[in-house]
Amino acid sequence: MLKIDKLVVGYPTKTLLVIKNLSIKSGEIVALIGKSGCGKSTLFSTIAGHIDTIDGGFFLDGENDISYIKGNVALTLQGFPLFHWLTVEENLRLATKIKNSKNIDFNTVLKSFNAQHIAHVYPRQLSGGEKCRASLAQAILTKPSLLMLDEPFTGLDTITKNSISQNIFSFTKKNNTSVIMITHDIHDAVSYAHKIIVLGQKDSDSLSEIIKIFDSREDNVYESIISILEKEYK
Amino acid sequence: MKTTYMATLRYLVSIIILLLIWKAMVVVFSLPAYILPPPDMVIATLFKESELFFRAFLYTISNTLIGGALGVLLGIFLAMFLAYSKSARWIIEPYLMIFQSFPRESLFPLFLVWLGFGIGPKIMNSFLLSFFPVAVLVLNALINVDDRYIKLMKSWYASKREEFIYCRLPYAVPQIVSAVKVGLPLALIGAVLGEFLGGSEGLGYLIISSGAQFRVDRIFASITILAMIGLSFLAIIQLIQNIFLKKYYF
Repeated sequence: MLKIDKLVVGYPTKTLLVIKNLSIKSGEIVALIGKSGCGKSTLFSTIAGHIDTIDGGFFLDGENDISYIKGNVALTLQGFPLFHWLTVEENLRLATKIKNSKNIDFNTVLKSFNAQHIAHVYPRQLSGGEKCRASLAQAILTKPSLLMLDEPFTGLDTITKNSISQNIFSFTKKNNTSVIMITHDIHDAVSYAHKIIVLGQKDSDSLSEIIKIFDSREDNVYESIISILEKEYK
Repeated sequence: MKTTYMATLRYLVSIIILLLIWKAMVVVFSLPAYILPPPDMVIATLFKESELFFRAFLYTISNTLIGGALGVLLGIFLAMFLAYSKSARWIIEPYLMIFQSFPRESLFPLFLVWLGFGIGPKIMNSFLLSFFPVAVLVLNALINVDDRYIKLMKSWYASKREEFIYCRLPYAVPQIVSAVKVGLPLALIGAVLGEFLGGSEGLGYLIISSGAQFRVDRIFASITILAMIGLSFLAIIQLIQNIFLKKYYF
């Protein structure tokens, strides 16, 4: 479970993002939506521990100790980077070595993403879907309690996207893992997430904050998000 | 392997064409040997005076290898140190740029004054010519790592040391090999220039002294040996690239 309490991010001279209150339950999938520069990546990097906060903070499973957060947060990056001089399995091994995780069954992890056949393949020989599978396998190796996905389905065809999303969300359901997913695709957000957070600026030069949180089962959620984003882009 | 054979064949064909043009020029323009000796005469000189050329070759190659090895290795180590330590980079990088920006050959008279006429100034010249370009190229390679890889390391909360060992260094390996490819021929140039300017041995000295005696065949024979040394350096590095790097990087 992730609980954000009066989180302020930015520089001493300029505040960029304020999240007054937000909680994400264990096993819950949350989509972050908003126009470019609205603070999605800033919030993402802050929770990942890459950006220091000015004020406030967040608790993961009730802990705000950075070493606990580092051990229990995993993320995938846009474009699914993998070291091109290592095979997929070597990439996975390096991640576990650096994260100091032991007793990892790489085969099982790769199998859970239908990626066991690419274990000994170099990234340059992989398709976009295979790269995505390898990156996700790398992220979930340590069974994190929070999985953060930056544009996980960009550039994938519908069949591959469905197959990969099934792999991810069956893993997160089984392990009760919370998910924060940045996406530009409102369809993806509505289809996969329980909650959809629209980030943005309430007026043109103000700081970024949560404009609205939607339950993806609400009626006309798609249209409501579109109407907010249309105002944002004006 | 097929690529290696094709590359070798390409070079052989180019050399044969060059020799044919050379020979044709000598015959067509009836050029005397003291202006342009025919290639067969140069080859004959190479064999006839093989002992002289071999001694000169040994002298030049040993200076080149000592200076070049020092230049390349120290250049790589300095670049690694500077890439790792921002504060050291802040202090030392301007010196790298200063020494990279002017002809370092102009320092040679100083080496003659400081180190005498022996192998010292030649090795120093060879070292200096290869050290700075290698250091600059390797430093750039270690600093300008694909940003996505750095983000990936950060996503695993890697330490600075881990980021360097597992990301920056392996990422830069192909560029480091390319830097060596640049550095070693420069080391050869450094050694030969040293022999031109203040020597009594080596292929550089042989070229200068043969010029004074109008022994143009000897000049061409010496240049042929130098070209073969330079090409051998490139071939060895290309072989290393093909054998070790192709699998991982290309």
